Amino acid sequence: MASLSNVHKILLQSFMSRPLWTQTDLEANLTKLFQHFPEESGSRDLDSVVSAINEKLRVLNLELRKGMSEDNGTMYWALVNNKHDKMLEKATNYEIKELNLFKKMLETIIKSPTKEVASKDIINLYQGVEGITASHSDDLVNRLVNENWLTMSDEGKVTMGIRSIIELRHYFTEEFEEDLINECMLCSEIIFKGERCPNNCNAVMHKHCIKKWFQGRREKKFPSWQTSLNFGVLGLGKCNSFLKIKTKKKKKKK
Amino acid sequence: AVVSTQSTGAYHIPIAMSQRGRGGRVHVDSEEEEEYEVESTQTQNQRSQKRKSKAHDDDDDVEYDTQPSASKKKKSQGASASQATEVPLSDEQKEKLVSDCVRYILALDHNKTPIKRDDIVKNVMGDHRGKGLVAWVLERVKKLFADIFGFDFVEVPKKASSKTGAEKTSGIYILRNNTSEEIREALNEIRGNDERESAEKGFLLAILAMIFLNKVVDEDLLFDQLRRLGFYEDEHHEILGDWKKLIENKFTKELYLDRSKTDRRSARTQKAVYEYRIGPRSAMEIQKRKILEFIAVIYGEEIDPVQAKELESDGENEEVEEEEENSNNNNNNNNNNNNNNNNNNNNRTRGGASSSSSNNNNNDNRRSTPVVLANSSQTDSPPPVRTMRSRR
Repeated sequence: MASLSNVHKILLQSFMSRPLWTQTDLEANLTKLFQHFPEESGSRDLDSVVSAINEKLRVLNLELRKGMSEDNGTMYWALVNNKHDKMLEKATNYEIKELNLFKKMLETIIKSPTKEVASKDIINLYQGVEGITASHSDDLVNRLVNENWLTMSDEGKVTMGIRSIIELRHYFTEEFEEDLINECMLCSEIIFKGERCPNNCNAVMHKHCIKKWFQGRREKKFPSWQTSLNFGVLGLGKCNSFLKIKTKKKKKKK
Repeated sequence: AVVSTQSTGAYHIPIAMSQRGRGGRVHVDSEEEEEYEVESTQTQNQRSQKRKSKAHDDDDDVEYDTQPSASKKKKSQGASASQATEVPLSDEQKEKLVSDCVRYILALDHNKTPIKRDDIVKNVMGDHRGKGLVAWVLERVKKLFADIFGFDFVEVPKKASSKTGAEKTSGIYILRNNTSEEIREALNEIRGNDERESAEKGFLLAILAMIFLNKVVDEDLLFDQLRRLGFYEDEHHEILGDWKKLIENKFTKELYLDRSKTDRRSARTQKAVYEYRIGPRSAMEIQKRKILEFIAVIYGEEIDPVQAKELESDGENEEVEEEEENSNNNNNNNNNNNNNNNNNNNNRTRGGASSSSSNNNNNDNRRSTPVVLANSSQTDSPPPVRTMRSRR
């Protein structure tokens, strides 16, 4: 089995010291690494490098994967586990009971209609788990927020953090019913926080997907809509009129 | 010289394997690692028969070959005429074992828990315990770590005065960073560090420096030194928290420090005296030179290049000696022992004196510092380190 190049190995290693990287930082690192090892052959763009690494990681059921932050549209990368077996159980800084509580929190968030829950309610979930006190739960939430598994808004609302979005995508789709899991109209990725179609039809889109879509267009609205977009909270379901527009757009391009 | 950072994973999706910023220079010869093969086949066989098989992901349609099989289908390393139960596995199953093993090791190493060979056999190999297979899997694992991550999967050197007599190897492994200089430099440049980790590393380095010059330090004395740096025993540090626990528990468990109980009793507290030595992980991850440079900076001295070179070649001699020791399995401590093999109070002279026999003479030790730091004015103002020694 051929080995990865030095640049690939070091990039991979960097995920061990920091589990989450922004795409910008990662690309900067890559540039620095190629400066260190100028004689290395092969493509130097991030996607090719990641591809090469992922090819080797496949046999270990690991993968470098990216995801977009729902707050600021930043692209992040993380090293994720694709097989949920005993082997990697220990690779975590959280105790089993803390993880059980975390699972409950995730469930609560997903089952909430707006996909966000007041932090007070999240913390109080400790009551359903043995061996955790209120203050422990409070502390746990802080740790989870610090490590990007959960996000806390200024008003104290808890939503899904970027790491959960990147790593737990599959877990969510497997574990919960279809109508609880929403997809962004524009990028087809899982969505927790975004904009609702103002056409009253419940379509949801990531704020930054919309920004990208409307880039360069004068009016911030889809032709079939009466009003322009106002950035709000999300809803559920699909937007028929939007679908029409989307497919039209695609046909035009083709 | 040393860095690392913790990272987390969520349940089920535990990922983030931790940091790896080591710069180990001590190169463990690959021959040492294969020494685990020399365990007696008899005991291995008995042990595997007694153990119950753990719940395993593997499919169950594997037949056991219960006859003392001579037909080895897998690559075998040792010369053992194995009586262990042979299980003919498909290539796919073998590769899965290797993959499971790598993931298991990544998980354990995430917390810097040293990985025991026994645990691997128990938790990963499950029913497939044939000795040849374990050895083969570990070899593949080693290659995988090197090829994909750039890690060395190495065995911790065994202490010379081993209580477990017959065993020549420790059977304990760690993951450390590939020792090439350019890789370490590159890694240092891009790695993300967090405050707590950096603080812990700095703290550890300071302690290692204190132990380094003495080889072994009593806990009391170590704490005295730390008090001078502003670490008080009943006070928490603002970044490190309970620093005492950090030393006693974390650093020791992660094999950065070696903490052992002595028979002596403290005159002050009447409790048993504990000694600290440089732990095997530190020895493998941090170059001696780096510790020396650190000390030199503290003292504001230059390192005498001649002496330092002797120190480094000293280091190489150590490895050679260690290898011989392991293969001879004798406890001859007079020549260049590796730090962690030094379990008695022999304090070797540095600077290339390769024949310090069983001498507990403090004078030798006091000489070693000025020799290396190349400044005789040191003797006038004895630095804290020396005071420690003269008390003993």
